[in-house]
Amino acid sequence: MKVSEEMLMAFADGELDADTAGEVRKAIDADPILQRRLRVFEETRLGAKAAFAGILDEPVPAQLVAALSTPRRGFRDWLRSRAFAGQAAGGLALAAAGFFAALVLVDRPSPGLLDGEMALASLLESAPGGATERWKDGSFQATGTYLVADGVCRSFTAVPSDTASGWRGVACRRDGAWTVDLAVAEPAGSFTTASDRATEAIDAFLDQVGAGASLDLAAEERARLAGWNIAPPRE
Amino acid sequence: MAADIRHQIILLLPRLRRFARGLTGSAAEADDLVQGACERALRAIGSWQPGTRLDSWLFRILRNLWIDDLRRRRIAVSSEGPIDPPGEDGRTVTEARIDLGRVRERIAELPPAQREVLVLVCIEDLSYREAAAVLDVPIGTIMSRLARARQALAASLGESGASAPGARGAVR
Repeated sequence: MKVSEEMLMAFADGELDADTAGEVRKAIDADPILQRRLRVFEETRLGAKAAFAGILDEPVPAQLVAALSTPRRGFRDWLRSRAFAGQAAGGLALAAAGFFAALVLVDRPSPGLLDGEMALASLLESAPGGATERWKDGSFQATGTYLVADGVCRSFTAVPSDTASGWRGVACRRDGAWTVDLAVAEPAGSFTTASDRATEAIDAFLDQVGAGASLDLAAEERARLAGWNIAPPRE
Repeated sequence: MAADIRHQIILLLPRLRRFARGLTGSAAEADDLVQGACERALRAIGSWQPGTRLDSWLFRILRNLWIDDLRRRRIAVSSEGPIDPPGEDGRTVTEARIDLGRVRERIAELPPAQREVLVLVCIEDLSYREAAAVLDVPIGTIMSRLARARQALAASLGESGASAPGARGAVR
């Protein structure tokens, strides 16, 4: 049987039907030159595959994921649904006009967060994502990091002491300074599971500022170590 | 539905990046290409037919974007390249010790029309038929280009590999 280069290649790639493959196999077994030519096809495939295998393990750039992230329910829809749900609206001192003030406190406004804002700013600047840091007599954790058009935002939980109520919120860094843009009060002990209300408020806020999915920890670390001097997601 | 497809595309991003890297040979160009392809895919999401392979559909979009870019830069796309003799003289990758960086370089030097077939079949594991559908050419064309690409790759690695005895067995 005359075995062409393309037939040999199709044999190496498993593209021949069983009968033809059997005949080619016999011809190869009987011919060292065919064996060597077969190796060209086997080894170029293995080599090419190996040469690019590492790329699958690289972290995917955040802006690629962000470009594909599902748009969440719009903030206005959310606000409207809240306004008409009387029971829920009662608990929210939240209005469209006030939403983007530097600090919006829901429920029981407390000076506690403001008192700690200097310390909070340094934690927002330097705390690794997901790590529990000391804040006042309690703890602070950066729970997510998001690229937005004019900088970076981080969602966080901040509990001043083990027994006090704490905050869940979002702070954004603009022109080198951190501002707490949203803070939702949480009763003590509720931090193990994210409350629906806080999650919805944070989601709505992140939608409004055009944030995509949170950076993964590797990308977050690169951005943090670069002093947050990172390119915003491209349009 | 659309949200589900977005999620599936996100899961395919590592493969899209690998495919684009194989085509362009450059990490930065590859990610630009992936981003452009994702944007184009989202705009055209209605034209993907459920039940067909999403990866092939995305490969096709990405590849067409790459071809557009090559044409803009006036790089010949349809070149079949020189026809290399089969490696009967023993200068194949068999004896050569090659390193993976060299393999990537040599692949990047292949004519685009050979490179894209090699990447789809040998790296992304598409069948000849699937590759033919992505590139919109007959299977016979896939086979002739793929055979040429691999013989050229083997020949260039055989030549350069022999002079790089320090590189240790990269082909596993």
